[in-house]
Amino acid sequence: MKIFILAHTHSDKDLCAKLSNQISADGAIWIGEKCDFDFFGVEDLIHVDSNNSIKSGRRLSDHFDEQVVIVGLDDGFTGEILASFSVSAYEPVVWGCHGFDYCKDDSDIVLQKYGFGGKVLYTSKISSGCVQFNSKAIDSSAREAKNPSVVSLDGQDSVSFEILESVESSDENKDVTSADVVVSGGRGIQGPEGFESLKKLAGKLDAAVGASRAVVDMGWIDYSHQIGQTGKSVSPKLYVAFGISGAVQHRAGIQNSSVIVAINTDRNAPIFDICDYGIVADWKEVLEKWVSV
Amino acid sequence: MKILVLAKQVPATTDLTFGKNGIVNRESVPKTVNPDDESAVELAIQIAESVSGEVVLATMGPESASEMLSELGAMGCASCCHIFDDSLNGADLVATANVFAALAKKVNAGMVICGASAADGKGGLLPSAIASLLGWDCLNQVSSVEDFSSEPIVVFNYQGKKTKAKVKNPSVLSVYKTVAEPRIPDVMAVLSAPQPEKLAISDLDINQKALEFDQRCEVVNVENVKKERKNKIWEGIESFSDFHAELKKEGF
Ligand SMILES: Cc1cc2nc3c(=O)[nH]c(=O)nc-3n(C[C@H](O)[C@H](O)[C@H](O)COP(=O)(O)OP(=O)(O)OC[C@H]3O[C@@H](n4cnc5c(N)ncnc54)[C@H](O)[C@@H]3O)c2cc1C
Repeated sequence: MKIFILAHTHSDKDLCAKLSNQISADGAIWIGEKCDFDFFGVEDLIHVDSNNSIKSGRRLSDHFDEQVVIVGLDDGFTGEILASFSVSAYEPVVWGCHGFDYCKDDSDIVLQKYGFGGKVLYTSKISSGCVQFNSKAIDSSAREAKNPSVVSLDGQDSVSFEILESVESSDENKDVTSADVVVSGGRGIQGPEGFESLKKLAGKLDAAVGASRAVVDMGWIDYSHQIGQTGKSVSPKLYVAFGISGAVQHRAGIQNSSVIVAINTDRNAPIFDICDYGIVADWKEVLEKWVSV
Repeated sequence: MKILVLAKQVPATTDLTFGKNGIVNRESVPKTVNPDDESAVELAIQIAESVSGEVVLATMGPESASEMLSELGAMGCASCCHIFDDSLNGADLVATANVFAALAKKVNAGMVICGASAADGKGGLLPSAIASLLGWDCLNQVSSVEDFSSEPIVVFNYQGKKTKAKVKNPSVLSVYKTVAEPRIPDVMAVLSAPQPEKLAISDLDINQKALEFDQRCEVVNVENVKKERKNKIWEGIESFSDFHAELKKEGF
């Protein structure tokens, strides 16, 4: 069984170099335009010059006649390629993994991932298939660069949909799932304008802005910011909750955060039960002081 | 055009227990419709209304999922399929995608719409897997729709960027709940809602290999995690500097 790291034109090459080292990749797969492939630090590379995730997954399935484990990062395009490979090759796909190890006894891969917002830890074993690795769990140094020998698969697949334009997303729409710091607001911030103030602190801390479902439902901020059971699960180094009560459904999305900070006027709010640091005070006063220090 | 729309019942609580191979014990917990899915149904109905098409609503799940089909079906679906088969308990991505792809073929769907991800799994991979099996393209994480025609204009996530595109069918769309506000059916609609039709695996044309999910991945352990928190709490804005000093010590 061989281990391949999979990446594409929009993947972060630095992260790929580290992941390649962490999983001791035997080879690499690159989807998209040709570039310098030395950063993977592997000897063999498969290149599919395509911008169609679904067809790329199928091409890879046609290509491999040996057992492989393909490991990619946790972005959507990678997920699409792995999903397509998985169903074409009848192979499993395990997403959101933070642990990847060999099992010496039977040369399987042992994977670890959290489920249900960090409430449960799954350990599973695969002998071949796909893995989507949580980019936050990459803690290796980069692999030494090496020029691989390249096999090109027939690509150039077009997409059926007609692309009209790219819709600019500003920095304030930084993705909550990949940010190291998330500053969130709930009903306690009293209105959509509260998010303008939160964005100032987010700018200072280089943070993404999150939200509770209550405020998303009221239209104070876009759904893409919602955190919790029916929103996104986050695992930042620092999670700051302003005016969020900490309902169980919200907590389900934040339990993998390294440090949780709560700001709330109600000492009995459940968010204080699961925080590392908390301050019982008005959100605006805390925010203003924090921005000005 | 027939539009197949998929919906899932998810636990309404995070207080769950797990059985063999880490499968959630679903029967005993309160359930709700996955929020993205209600909007997926609304979008499908609006497109069907504008192209004189019809919506086939489907789910795969335990007995209780039929109630959800009746509720959502009343929004304006032409028919509802409940794929209910004990052998699918614990089905993985490959098995589930094969079931829905087979159903899409059986009903002769020209479009499949589903929620962007399920609240209890969050993988978000099923739509792409179904598209791959059907040989179609997939537009994932659609956040808005401009034109509810047979070729809708959508904003979706393409290679990490929000992108506006015109859909060419057949296609699979996975949507966020922001695409459309689900309608509330009136009494007449509820009374005339289609009865869910039960389908078993044997009613669908599926490769046996797709159903061998026990052999693909073995869950060797499921552990409840309890993270210890420091729980240091200050009262009053006057303690802000102590609070902030502690965060600084942590490196923030
Ligand atoms: C099936 C289901 C799924 C759900 N999924 C999610 C989900 O994914 N994410 C989610 O967040 N919720 C979810 N919910 C909703 C959840 O149950 C709560 O209703 C929601 O999280 C509450 O949001 P909130 O904390 O902003 O509001 P509230 O519960 O109203 O809390 C507001 C808090 O602000 C505090 N406050 C008020 N004024 C101030 C002030 N001046 N300064 C500081 N603090 C102040 C209050 O003391 C209070 O604690 C779900 C519910 C269900 C049933």
